Amino acid sequence: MDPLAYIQNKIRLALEKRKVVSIELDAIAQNLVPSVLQVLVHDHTDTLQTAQTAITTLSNTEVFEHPQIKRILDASIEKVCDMYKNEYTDVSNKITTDNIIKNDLATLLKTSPTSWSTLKEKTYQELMNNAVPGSNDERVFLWIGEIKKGTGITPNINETVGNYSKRAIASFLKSQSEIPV
Amino acid sequence: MSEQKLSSAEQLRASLTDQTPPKIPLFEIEPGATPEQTTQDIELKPTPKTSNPVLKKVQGAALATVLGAGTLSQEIRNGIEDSLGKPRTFEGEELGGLGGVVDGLKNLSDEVSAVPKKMVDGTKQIVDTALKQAQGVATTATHLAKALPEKALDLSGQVGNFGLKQAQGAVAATGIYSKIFSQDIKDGIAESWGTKKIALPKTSPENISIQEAPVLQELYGVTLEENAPKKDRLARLKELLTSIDQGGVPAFISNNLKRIAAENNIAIETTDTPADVIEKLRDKYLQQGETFKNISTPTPTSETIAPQIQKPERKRILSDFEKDVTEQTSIEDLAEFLTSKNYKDRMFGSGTRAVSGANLAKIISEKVLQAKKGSQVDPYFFIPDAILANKLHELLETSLSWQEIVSEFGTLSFEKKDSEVKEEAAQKATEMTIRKIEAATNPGMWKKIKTWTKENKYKAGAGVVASALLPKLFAFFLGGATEQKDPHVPNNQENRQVIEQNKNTSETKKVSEASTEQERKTFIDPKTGDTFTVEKPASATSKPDAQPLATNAPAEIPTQPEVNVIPIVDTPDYISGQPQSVTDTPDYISPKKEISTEKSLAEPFFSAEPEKPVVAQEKPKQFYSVNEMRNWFSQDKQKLAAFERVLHYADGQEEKGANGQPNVRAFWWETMQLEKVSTILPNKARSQNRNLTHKYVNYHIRESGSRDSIIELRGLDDNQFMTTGAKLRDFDTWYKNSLFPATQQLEQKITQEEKEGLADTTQTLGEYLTQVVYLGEKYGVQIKGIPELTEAQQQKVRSFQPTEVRAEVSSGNRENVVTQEKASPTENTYWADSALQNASLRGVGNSPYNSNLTWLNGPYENMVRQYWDIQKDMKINRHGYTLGELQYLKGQFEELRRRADSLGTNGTAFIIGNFSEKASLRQVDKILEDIETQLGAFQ
Repeated sequence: MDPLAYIQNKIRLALEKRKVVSIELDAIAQNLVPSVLQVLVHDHTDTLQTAQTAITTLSNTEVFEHPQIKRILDASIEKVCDMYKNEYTDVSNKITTDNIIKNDLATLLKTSPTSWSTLKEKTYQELMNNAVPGSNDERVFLWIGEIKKGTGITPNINETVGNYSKRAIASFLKSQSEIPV
Repeated sequence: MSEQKLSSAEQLRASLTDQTPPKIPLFEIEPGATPEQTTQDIELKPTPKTSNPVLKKVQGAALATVLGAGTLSQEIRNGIEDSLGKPRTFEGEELGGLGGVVDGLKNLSDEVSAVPKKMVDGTKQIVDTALKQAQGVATTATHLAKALPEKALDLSGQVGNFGLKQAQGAVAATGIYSKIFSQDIKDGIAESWGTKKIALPKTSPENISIQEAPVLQELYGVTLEENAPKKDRLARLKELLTSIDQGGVPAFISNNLKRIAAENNIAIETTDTPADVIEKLRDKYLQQGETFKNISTPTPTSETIAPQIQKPERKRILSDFEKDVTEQTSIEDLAEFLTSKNYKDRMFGSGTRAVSGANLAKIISEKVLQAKKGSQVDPYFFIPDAILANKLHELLETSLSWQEIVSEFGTLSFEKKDSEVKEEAAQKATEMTIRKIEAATNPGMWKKIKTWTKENKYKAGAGVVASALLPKLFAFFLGGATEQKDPHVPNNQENRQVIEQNKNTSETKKVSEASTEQERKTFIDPKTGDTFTVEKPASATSKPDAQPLATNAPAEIPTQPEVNVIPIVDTPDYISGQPQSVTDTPDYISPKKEISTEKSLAEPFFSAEPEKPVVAQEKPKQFYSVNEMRNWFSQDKQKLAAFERVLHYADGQEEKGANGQPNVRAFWWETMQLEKVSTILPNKARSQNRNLTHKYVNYHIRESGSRDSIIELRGLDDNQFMTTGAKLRDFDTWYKNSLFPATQQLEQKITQEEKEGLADTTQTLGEYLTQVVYLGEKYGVQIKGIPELTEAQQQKVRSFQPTEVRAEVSSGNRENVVTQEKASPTENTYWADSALQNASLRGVGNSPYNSNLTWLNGPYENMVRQYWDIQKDMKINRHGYTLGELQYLKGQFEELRRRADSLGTNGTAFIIGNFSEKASLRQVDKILEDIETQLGAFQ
């Protein structure tokens, strides 16, 4: 048995059990093999050292069935996969957040798409003050209201509109991703 | 061939297809005829011998069919069971359904399994029987392929895309290989017996269903008419080319293809592939004046060949995907293609896949290896795609070095290390995970592992090193990529021999037992073969599975000096995995340093060299702003705490300008100790970790009783551990010979107010000693061994120019400062604020996701854990919270307690980790109690 392929497969199986963490599981698992080994060696030096004598006389298959090795290997894989899953959730939430904002604004501000670069720097208070009917400020203000309503997250009065929209949507997406399937 | 066996196959077909099965066996046996007479067209020559190579080929073909049928049936079962999500038995009432398909195929394989044995005899009768059986397998497989999809869906409605496709493809593969083998059998017999008069056994056309007729024609390449007119050469060529356009390029150059090529004067080179031969034939056909057009028909819905068998009248062209397959020029390229996203998505969709391309490539490699070793006849039975199977077959046929190719398969997935992850989120997440783990573990290890994997592809991928690989692998990682020879390992060769003995000889046990300790520390670098030892610091023994690595260190662990063992008290249950005590070696303990116990009475325990503030340790002649200094020390809590104390005294000096000296002297004490005797420096939080003071008070004051009457130091002895070291002995010497006599004299002179001032439990050791010195000067009591605080040193203190007011400027305005700190978290307490804010962001109280306890309570759990983690860290590093920070934390945890109660009343549980709700609340209460205890020390 190829130890690295074995570990790769185990990572893949572990990732498969989780909520969607990309379809490229094989490649991801392959890339994470060294990390698992790092964790294995770093977190379980003593166990490896203790088991060294025992596993020398075992076949590769038997080594992976060795209770100590199996335990620490599973723990290392679990640790790496947990970390990956969290990273994936964060990154994909961020990407989704950016896309949501981008798409919304493309519709909202289609007459002046570049105005967002100015508007996003305004605080919520400033936006409220400038929300003249028919203005871009008003459009964004209404949009912020939708975000507030949809996510249940309230903007701070001095928080910039750009920061708030990102924070609220990302937080909402995170809450969605945490719900067990 | 017994009628009984054919009958069972017939019944199986009936159960599978819901069609009227043929009423008689496919191969008619005339009443009263012997089996020999049923194949009367075969003119047998001398009885073949078992050593006849052609007969062997026939036997091999039949064996392949049998093995294939058996293995495929298991594959189908596995695939379907995987799709259904649980194992199940298909029998009894479900015989007419999918279970019947699977079990029927198994039965069929059993039925045919007797063939090879019989064929060894080489008699005409047996060969004839085998031929029929092989044909029977092919026909039945065709029916299975046709029946399976609808039956599979009828059975459960849950069979996934993969299971269906796999089953389809597998059954279809059985059919096509049976066809190939049956043709081989025919050709083999013809060659063996020297006759071309091979024809199918007599059939009765009226007993062949309309559907079966083209199937049989497709399968066996012959018409059902007994006396079909012979086609001329051009017609045969046209038929062949048409057949190829419909069904694809054959997997290998069959005898039929060779025959037709020969008829058309086409020479077949040894390097020619079937495609090359066909191209030559096509050119020949076109040259002869008859326009040959590629026949374009709609592409079948599945890339498996099952539909092709079922609907032979439909013509097809290769899809882009299939073209991609056929364009691969080597097995390596083909395998690479198999691992590509394109292939995987094509075969299994973009959703969950039961089989990956990489696994498929691995299966191929295994089967190829097995085929090479002779344990498995056909390596590509498992490829549910005829085009792919054909291509693989072709490549294998042309490959000159199977063994190397197998190895390449094994390492393939690791060769493409950096090029796989394409999806943006997955790519970033992978990078971040790798980075974080790299940062959290031994720096550089990732690179070493990666380098090793790259440089040892064969070992890493093929796993041919067997049992020795894994230990070596780990050993390498444990030791890093060192090329150095460990001087403490006497002989590398000897060590290798020991390992070998451990593996193979009966003496191993003795050797192993005799040298267990040594071997545990000895590893082998797989690259160099060098051995080396892994040594860990003594402290590692108390922290299992959590130590950084240290390699190539001396085998002998130097004797550690005495260390302080700080008990971790009040550790919550869930931190039970953490060590209950930690071993800490103070900075001042150095085994190399000689301990001098012969100081003169007047000689101070510290050096008389000019003292420098802490900044001077790094850049002696440069001054920094307070914020710069804080940033500088931000990673070193102990130094930061020391620096804060410097600020404290520097600030205090301005306020006590009237009598100035005490504060300046306090600062002097502190800064001097900071640099020279760091462990003497009391912590930033007063009344904590005054280990030296404890010794001082207990040994010199409490036990002797000499000081109790005038100087109450209750707050200074709150630690119950002892400490040792040269500096402490120096301090003791100085105390006994200088300070103690002075305090005895002072006791009779100082006022009650001054006594109370000395008894202030909130003061630091530096403040206390400074007051003693101040009082000594006031009352004319000489205290020996106190170095002068020069003007230059005082100037350095003032030059810090603190830019912000610290909380503990003086005891007088403490309340105001506490209030100020409470409003905003410090860098030590921001986490509590973050946790509560994070919980709020999750919609506590009004979120539709309140039922998700993990989601809801996550920040709270982190908050509780963080508190204890920091407490533990503070105990180790001997510093604590300021009063303001404690007040702030108290407020935050009281807020947490309120929220926890609120959660309990609105139906959502407050749960931390694995604790019950009540236990979780107790965890918060416990923290509040702990904070109160710490606050009590400030009273």
